[in-house]
Amino acid sequence: MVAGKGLQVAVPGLPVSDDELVRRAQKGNLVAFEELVRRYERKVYNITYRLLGNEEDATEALQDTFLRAYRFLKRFRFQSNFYTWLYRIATNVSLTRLRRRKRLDTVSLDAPVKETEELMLDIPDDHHTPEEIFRQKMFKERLQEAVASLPEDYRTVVVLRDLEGLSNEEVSKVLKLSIPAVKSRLHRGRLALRERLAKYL
Amino acid sequence: MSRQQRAGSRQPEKCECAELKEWIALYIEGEASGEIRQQLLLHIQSCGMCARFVRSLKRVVHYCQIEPGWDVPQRAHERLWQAIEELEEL
Repeated sequence: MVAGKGLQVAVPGLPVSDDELVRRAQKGNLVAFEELVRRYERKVYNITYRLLGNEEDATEALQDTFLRAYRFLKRFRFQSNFYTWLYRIATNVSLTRLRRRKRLDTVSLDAPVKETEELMLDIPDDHHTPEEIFRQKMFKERLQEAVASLPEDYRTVVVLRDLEGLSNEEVSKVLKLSIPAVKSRLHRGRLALRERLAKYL
Repeated sequence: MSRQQRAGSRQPEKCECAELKEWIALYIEGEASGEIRQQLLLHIQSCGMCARFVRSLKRVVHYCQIEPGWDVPQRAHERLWQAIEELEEL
């Protein structure tokens, strides 16, 4: 396992920038690439998991994303942030995988949100009571199901913007959309999500 | 929204106030101008349905934005790093 290897920094005490790591990796420095993997592994996993809706596919997409990034790293021209470029790969890998699935065997696009528990969620005063922890856990699951049931165009924007915290500008770069298109899809996606989660809100 | 519209609505969870629909995206994004924001808030005060609609939409966005996500499962992590290690051998 190479995950624990360190990386010599350019200036002691300061982390090496993504761009510097990319430059080193482009010259064949695998340790630099491994540091990029360490930095973005969790974020990429969350994007793939949210877009694909199950752990098995997300695991495959996580691996595909970084292998593809490694293979095409020399094409990266520093015209955007490295992570924007990486998230675009993760999104494309996930959507390709999604489209390949002949039928959605884990979630149906029209499937209603589970109605097993009635969750009346307010913004809680105390996040730590057992009841509140249970509510948050259940809501997390319902939220993921609802996100996974969104149409693809809305899902990608909601995942990148609201769940992964990218700006409108960053989302527009990742998805190669205009900012007005991002805003429009985001709003429609939020409305669709609200409908799916209405009983818990 | 008129009383007639309200009384006739079969889907009370849906907002049918045209003026709100136009502004709601801007409001949620914090991009509504002072005047629009003021008119929107006035409308919400007089329309319970719209008030519930805006509140629930704001909540959805809020919960999405505070959702912490997942740690990478051990198996996924190991498979990824196995693949990275194999790059070293190429």
